[in-house]
Amino acid sequence: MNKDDFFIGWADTPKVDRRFFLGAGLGLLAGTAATATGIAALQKPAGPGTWNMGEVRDWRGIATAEPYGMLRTLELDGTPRTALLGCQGKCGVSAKIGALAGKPVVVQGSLIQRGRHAMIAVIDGLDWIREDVDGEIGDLAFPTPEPIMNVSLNGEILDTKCWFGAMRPSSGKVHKSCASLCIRSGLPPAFYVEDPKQQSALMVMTSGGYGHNKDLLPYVADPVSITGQVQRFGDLFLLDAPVSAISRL
Amino acid sequence: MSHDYKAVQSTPFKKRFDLWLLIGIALYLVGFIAVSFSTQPAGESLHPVQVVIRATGTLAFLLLTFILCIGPLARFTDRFKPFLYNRRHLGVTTFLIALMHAALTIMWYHGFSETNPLVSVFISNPRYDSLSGFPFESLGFVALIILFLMAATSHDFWNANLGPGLWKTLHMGVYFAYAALVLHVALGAIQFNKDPIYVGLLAASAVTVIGLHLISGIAGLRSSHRDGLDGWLKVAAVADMEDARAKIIRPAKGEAIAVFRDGEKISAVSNVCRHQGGPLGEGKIVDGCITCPWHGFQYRMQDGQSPPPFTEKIATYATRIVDGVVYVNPEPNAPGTPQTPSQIGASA
Amino acid sequence: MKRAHKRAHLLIWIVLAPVIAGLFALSIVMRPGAPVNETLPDVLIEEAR
Repeated sequence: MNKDDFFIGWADTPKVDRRFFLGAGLGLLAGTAATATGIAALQKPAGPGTWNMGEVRDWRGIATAEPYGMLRTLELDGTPRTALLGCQGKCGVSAKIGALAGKPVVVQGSLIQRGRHAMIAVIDGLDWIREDVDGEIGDLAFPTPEPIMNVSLNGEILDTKCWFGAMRPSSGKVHKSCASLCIRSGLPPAFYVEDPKQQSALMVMTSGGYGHNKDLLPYVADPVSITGQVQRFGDLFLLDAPVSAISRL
Repeated sequence: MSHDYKAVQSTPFKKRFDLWLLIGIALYLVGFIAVSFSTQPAGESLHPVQVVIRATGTLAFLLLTFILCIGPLARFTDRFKPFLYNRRHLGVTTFLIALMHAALTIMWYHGFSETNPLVSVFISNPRYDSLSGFPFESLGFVALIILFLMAATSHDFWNANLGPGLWKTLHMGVYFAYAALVLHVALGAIQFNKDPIYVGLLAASAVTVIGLHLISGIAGLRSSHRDGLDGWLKVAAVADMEDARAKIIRPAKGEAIAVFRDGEKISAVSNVCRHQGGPLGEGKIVDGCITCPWHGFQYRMQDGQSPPPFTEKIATYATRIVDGVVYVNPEPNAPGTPQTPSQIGASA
Repeated sequence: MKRAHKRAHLLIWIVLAPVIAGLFALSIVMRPGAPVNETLPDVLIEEAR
């Protein structure tokens, strides 16, 4: 063996090691680029949700705290529409609506939107909602939930804020902890269902007409089957089912 | 100048190695992020924070997979010794990338609520009794703690003060970290994104690491022939002893012995380097000193002592030459004991 | 490498290999299927996604 061939870190690197290192290095760089490309290209699309955090504006409408914090407003598309309400982080705001429930209000926040689903992320602090003294209830009064049918469907329990666009992607096991944290903190949970033609539906989940509590958490983001009653609530669908009607697939 | 420990110093080779490493990391992250945004349908792009979480997570796993292949590969071919020599830079870099992955994940998925983010990591998913539903985040957390302990003790200061034995034992924790990470990915990302290529990539990584370690481990166990003469072990015929190189002899008891030839002299020392337990018998005599193939630590042939100012000492062994065949006494002298080399051609 | 350490390396991998392989395989086999429905009630289907 050539005297040159023994690698010692503190000495000059032998030629054979330099050559091998160059080849291995180039090969590893090529492999690195190929692996990055492959892993990145196989990711699933994250859904079309958006949240323009910077565009804070006033929204006029009627607020309710039950089953979750919501605002009925004409300002989404000119027709009476329901926007769910959430804070800037992971929390619901229904408890902070208090005496203003059922009255015309002005809410300050930014819009999170996915298809026809909307949530207003209200600004931090206490000033996010105020009574709209000039406002009228008109068509905006919250209707009574109207039973449509009983269903038994397979799907995934999601938190509405992330699904509407706060996070992309916002479903599946990797997002489970986040969805649990959102629902634990009062953001409205929803049940998302699909068929083989990729047609889908989303229903806000209630239990006996009220918002769900922490009993729901073990099922969040897992594939589950739910038997319950679909109700029309203005432009929203509700799925009313107790936790006992949920089973894991 | 006193030398309680000697740090492996920065060298031009190390700098070149680190440059390659940085280029590779940049290439991976930039490539991953660019491809993530360019391949998704319009209006359905992933959130930038979530793209970076994925980019750093996958990179840290792939880097650790590569790091764990270096050890066994270096036992099969000398050409991987330079990678071995720079392995610690790779390890610390991997920890930093994993830390970024963890910090972003904890901030993004577990932050922004009244629950403490670190508490959320462990309670948000309560399904500890399920396999496919298992809170995989906790496995990643365990691996990160192990990688942190190793990165924090990676400096030679700790190697010297904990002792090479304890240091190596501590650093075997990386195997458990790797096991936790394979399951972190298996029970996490690929429970949701079921593309078989992801499963295949993960399986190939795990099989490579496990396979290389099992093969090199089993190969390392076989002990060499123990023909002897009066309790001395046969090494080789003088003619088969390559100059400046060693034969490694594994006695039934005790550590392996490295028997070196330097010109017309034969000497034997312990095969175990004091620094990190590197195989001295796979080293070479450079400038009259036995030089460890791992980090270049040196010992004088005649007494097993590192040349001043260094203070490391290894055991020496008596040798003799009978009828052109080299024998070694398997009973070690105390580390640093002078031992007269056997002279080729001087024996009866 | 000290012989005791070499044995420890091998021993660790002999223990870890089946644990990793077994749990990995089980985790893939036991993955829950996607929660798809044969049909959805027409009234629920969203016009625009």
